[in-house]
Amino acid sequence: MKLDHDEIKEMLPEYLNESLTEEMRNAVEIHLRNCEKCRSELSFIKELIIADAPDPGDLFWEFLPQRVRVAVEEEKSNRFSLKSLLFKQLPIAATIVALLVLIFSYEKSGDITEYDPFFKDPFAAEVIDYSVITENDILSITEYLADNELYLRSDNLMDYSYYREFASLNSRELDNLYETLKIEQQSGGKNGKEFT
Amino acid sequence: MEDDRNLIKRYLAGDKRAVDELVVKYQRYVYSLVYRITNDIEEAKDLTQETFIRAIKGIKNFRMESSFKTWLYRIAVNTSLYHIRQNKSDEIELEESTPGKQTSALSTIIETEKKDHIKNSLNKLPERQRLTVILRVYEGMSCSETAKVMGCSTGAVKTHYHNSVKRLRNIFKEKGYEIRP
Repeated sequence: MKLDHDEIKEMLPEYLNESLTEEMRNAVEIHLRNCEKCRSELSFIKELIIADAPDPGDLFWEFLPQRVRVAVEEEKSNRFSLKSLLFKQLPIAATIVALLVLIFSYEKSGDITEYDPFFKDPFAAEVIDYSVITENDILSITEYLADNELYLRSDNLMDYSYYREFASLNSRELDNLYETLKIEQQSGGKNGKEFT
Repeated sequence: MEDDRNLIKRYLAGDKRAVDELVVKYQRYVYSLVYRITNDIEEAKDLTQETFIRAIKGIKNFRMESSFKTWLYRIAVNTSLYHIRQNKSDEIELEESTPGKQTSALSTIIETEKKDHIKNSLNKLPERQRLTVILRVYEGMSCSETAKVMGCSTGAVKTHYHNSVKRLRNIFKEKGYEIRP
């Protein structure tokens, strides 16, 4: 086999590791006899090889295969699988789904008293004692309901007078409002200071 | 020893013990490679285990186009490099041996010093040059096998190898180590 200098030089690591065919090995040896550069390169590679890796100990070699096998098996069993969820955990999954459906339909009905025979509405007409209600009470309740109705029926909140008022304030007025509210908050609403 | 392909087929068919045989066959090669990349025994032990776990988990992706050893080395190299990049603050720099602290014979002291010097010199090389030396010189891989492991062209491996040997020789010269043919 005829190999040139560069080809032989490239094969030197494999020559040292004895991974060449016999034919190639012979070709390298013949070349080495006449080439000082390649002999020098080979000596240098030999020098590098003496830096061997330290042995981690018999216990490491003995248990590594088992540790790898167990780790792979554990990861497999912990992996999320839709199939295993559906088939292995089917009873649990079915119970959860049934409960969710029940809760959802219960809430969607809007009137929970319909389903609870023990529930007593404290504001039901038959429970209220009309004898204790004064004219003022009726007036304030009516006003409250009228205000709420106006607010709730409003499609655009900006139509509501408070919002319009706030929107019309300039920065100084807003600062004043903030300060007033802050004082009111600190005094527990007893200050009675009016916003100007 | 049983052929790698048969062992892989056995594992894929459900024989979990085939993993043990694959690990026993290649554990020393992988450890040696990983140690040379990290220069730390404990890290090398952990990364050897990590390499095998990754390989076995992804064994379905091994298309048997290259040898199992080459494929495994590629995983080992990637796992080690990823680890080094994640812990880049921990510089791989070995302490020079101080002969005064040694109690063994002079020849052993010189030998240890030389080994440390070689490791330090290797660490001074850029990552790909260092990898080329490890795979070519220590693992005895050909240029084409090294290219497969490193995921680059054979030409690039030749260039890296040539440059790294040249550079290492210069470092040796600077430190006063003579290489006689």
